[in-house]
Amino acid sequence: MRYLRLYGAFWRNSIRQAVEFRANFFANLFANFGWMMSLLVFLEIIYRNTQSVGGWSKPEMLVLFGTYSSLRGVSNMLFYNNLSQLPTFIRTGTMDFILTKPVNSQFYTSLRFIGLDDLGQTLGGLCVIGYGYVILPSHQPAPLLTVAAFVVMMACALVLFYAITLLMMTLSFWLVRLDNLMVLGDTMFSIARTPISIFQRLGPVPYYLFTYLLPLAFIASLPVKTLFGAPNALSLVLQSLALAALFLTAASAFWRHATRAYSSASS
Amino acid sequence: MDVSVTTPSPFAREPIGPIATLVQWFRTWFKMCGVFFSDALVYKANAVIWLMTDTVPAIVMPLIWLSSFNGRATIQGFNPSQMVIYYMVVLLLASLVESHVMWEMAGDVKQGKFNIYLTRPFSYMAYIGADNLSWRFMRTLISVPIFMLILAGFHKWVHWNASEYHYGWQFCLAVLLGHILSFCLSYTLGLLSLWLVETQSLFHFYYLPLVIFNGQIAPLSFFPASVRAVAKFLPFNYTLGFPAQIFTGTIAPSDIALGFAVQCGWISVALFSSVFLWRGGLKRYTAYGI
Repeated sequence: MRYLRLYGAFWRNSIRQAVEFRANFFANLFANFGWMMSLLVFLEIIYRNTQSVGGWSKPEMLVLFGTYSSLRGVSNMLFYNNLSQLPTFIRTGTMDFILTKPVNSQFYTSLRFIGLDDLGQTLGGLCVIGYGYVILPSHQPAPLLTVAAFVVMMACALVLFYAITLLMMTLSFWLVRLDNLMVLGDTMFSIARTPISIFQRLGPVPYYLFTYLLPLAFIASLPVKTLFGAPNALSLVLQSLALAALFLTAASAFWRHATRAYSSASS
Repeated sequence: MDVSVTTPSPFAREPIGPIATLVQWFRTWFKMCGVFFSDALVYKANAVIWLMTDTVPAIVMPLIWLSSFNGRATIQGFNPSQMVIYYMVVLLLASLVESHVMWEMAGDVKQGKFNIYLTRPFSYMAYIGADNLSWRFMRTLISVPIFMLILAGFHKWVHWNASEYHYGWQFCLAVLLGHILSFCLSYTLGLLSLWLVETQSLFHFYYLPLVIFNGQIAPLSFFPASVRAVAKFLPFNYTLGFPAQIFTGTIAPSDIALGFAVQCGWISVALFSSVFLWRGGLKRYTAYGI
């Protein structure tokens, strides 16, 4: 309850900031929109030259891209940008200050600021999903149960996204000099916007790696597949619930271990 | 490291005239490159992470296209082997050719480090160029083995037929001019930090057409004809896509000639504007940050 009230305060604080620096807000909004355009250009070029990429038609691929972008927008807004600050916090000694605060340090570092300008990416992603649905040849609405499965899987995807990011960024407690750890995250997650099934071409190892060991497939590829009627939907939903729980537990445990072993950078 | 003192070089005789000055200049410049290179070696771990940004597309892009052939022999004149090699070359060149010096320049100006360079007897552009080139070489050195590994992963599709690939002087010249072009563009853009307070969003505007047209997404010949007609004369494709298309032999001879002309044209434009931006910028620059 106390944490909910605190989180409410974080939101009020961030909205006030966004309103104050409006020029910056719109510049970021525009930049995000630009990056999305380049992805759409890529899709457009691919599907000028083929009907299907590893079994994915153009509308399906658009929904996949849109889903990934929306998720990325939400996660950037809620925690990704906060966690990207972690190496700086550790290097400059701000981390000591955070650890002495009377709140859970993981809660504070992950959720302190809400980046409202990242809403642009989410809105753009939703537009792309909409566009994908418009050009879908059969306009049959997906059954309610399938949509529910999709929503559950996307919630799990957000948790997974958070857990993987936290696991990676916690490494910076040891790799203090590595100031571009976040670039690794950006690159890694960019794999999630492609149909993971194309990795089967390189053999079973990369495919299973991205499905279970580093479950990028559960971030966008498999939820969207479920939305378009995968035969094993129930099993996929259960798997993503299990993976989300597992990774969240592991990430929290790793964070606790790291903060306990941490012996201040500056003093 | 100290070559000029320990080993008598052919140029060790008393130099005379402008050529000798030039030789002297280059000798100093290469020595500086050496210093910057050992500097870059310290940041190996950072380099490896930046490299990941090129290796992931080097795996994903060929996979996406290989999943798109659906039994056909070629797409836009590219067979599967050429498709894989094209992306390998583009992304390897991304390490060697594509320069991003404007970020560092903006930082130098903002933090007042720029003053140090002003007092030195060597031009700022030469410093930045040497630093950039050493970092590029460092990254390329690390990326070659990784790309060999990726290529091995694609061995089922890659048929190395030497006559199909063109790595002669045309390719080398395109790479060299591509590097100079990319450096001059980003250097000129970086000089804007002397004029403007906030340049970050401006740099992002440069990257948008760059990532669309530099060949990383797809070869320029895959774009619709109307887009191609414009992009042909923009500088962006001539950093990565152009040399890679020469290498894979998927470009018409007339387009190669046009490419060299466009490269030289944009290098001149960038150099010309950099002189103006430099002169005017120095007058405006107030050593803010000391």
